[in-house]
Amino acid sequence: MMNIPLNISTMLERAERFFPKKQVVSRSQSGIVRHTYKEIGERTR
Amino acid sequence: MEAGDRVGTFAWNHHRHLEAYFAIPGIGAVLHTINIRLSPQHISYIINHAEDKVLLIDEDLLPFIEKVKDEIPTVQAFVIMTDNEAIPETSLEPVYHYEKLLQEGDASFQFMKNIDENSPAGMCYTSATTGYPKGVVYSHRGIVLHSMALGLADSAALSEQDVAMPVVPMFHANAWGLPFAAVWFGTTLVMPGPAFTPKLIAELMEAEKVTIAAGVPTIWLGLLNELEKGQYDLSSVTRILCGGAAAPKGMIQAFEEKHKIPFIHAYGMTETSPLVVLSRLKSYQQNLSDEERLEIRAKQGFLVPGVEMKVIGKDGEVKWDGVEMGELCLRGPWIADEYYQDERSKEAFRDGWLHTGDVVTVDEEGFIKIVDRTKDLIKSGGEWISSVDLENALMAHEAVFEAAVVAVPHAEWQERPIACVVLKEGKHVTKEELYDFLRPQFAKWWLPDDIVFMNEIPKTSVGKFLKMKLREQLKDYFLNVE
Repeated sequence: MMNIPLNISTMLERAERFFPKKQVVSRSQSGIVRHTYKEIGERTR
Repeated sequence: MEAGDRVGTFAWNHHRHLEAYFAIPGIGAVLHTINIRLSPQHISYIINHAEDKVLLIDEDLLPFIEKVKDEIPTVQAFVIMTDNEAIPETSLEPVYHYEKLLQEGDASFQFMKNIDENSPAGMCYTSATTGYPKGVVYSHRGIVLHSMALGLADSAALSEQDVAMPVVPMFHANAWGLPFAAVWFGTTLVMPGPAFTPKLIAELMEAEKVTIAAGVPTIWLGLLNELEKGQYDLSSVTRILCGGAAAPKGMIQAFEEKHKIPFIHAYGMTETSPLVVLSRLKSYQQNLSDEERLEIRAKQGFLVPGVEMKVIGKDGEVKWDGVEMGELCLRGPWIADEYYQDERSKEAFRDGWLHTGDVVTVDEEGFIKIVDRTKDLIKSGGEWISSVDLENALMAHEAVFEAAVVAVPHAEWQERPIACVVLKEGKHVTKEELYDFLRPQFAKWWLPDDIVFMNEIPKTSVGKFLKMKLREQLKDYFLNVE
């Protein structure tokens, strides 16, 4: 079978592609902030 | 930055830290999560040992890094994670503003392709009983395979349907790998942020309809107390994952019976990514009595698919009888094979297995129960006595606040147990009464040779018993008796 190397970036790429609307809810110093996986992907890049 | 360079994070659980989890390995660099609760001496040691080139630091945690700024020459840049427009006053330099760097970045940047799957992606240091912390390096391959294991139905069963809250810090074995798996599966993530309290955890769980939360027993003890005080609707929660230390039966019972929240005991260590065993009943165990089920659930559980184990006792591999004790040894694609540039590797990694230092029994169904650490076990006349079993029995007495049992050298038996006991304030109990309390529970040769009352048990910086110090204090005990 194909020997495809496992790579962490593919995990985020899957979230960006299939779950762009899903959220990360984060409590920061100034309160609750919400980012979608689309936004998290853009911020990570 | 070049491939393989280490980037340290010094941060709470939040979205920026999550971004670092992917951005750093995404350029072939290594995400080094630093425990914010270490002493300044240990913080500077691990930054130097890892040779971190850049540090990402939470604004409120800056003072901890400022304290060691003159001792960490490898660090060439400090990036401050803050909600504010400006960087706060700091003695660190050069400093950069995380959000401003993001604005200058390219949102369509392509992550590095063709990374060797065995190359390092992360690292985390774990405290040692003696000496400095030991570094564990995680590969891309290990992290991906471990994430897959978190999604298995009989494991954590993490899925897109879940709302997951890692309370366990992102600097503890990658928050048990949950952030990686949650992103991959499209799971909604809830990050509890800086300096949270049990009240905040309960409020967040209710407001965000969390379905799975993960943390150490201390967190869940705090939440239990909070649930006694306030009215919360936590009916969305389908399981709490508890690891890092053994959860008392009473806690499991309180969550499940009183609050109707399923509670899953798990076990792992920094060296194991960390998930290796998890306590879920098998189909045919569901009909057992409440008491029997609780007995099983309070064990650490059985092995998840993908990892192998063997348990080595004094006569080789132990019988699966729930009685014979041996050291748990593990191997698998998400188990480390060495400590990063550390002489101590050869003690723990031998013949292709990680020797965990945990002494366990295995029952007929393959459920592991941790009974001790190898170094705390009492080896008496060729038999093994669990210090933890004796301590738990003593601490179940209503007058006892804390108990530590240690091995003391003995001419005839090699070692014998001696118990050190601290009483609760205002309570009184005699040595003989404690022996009467222990006798029905243990074989005669398990009983401690003496029970010593103390004002306090010496402890480590993270609150664990400092048994080394007790052993040192008591090492001539039998010489003095004779």
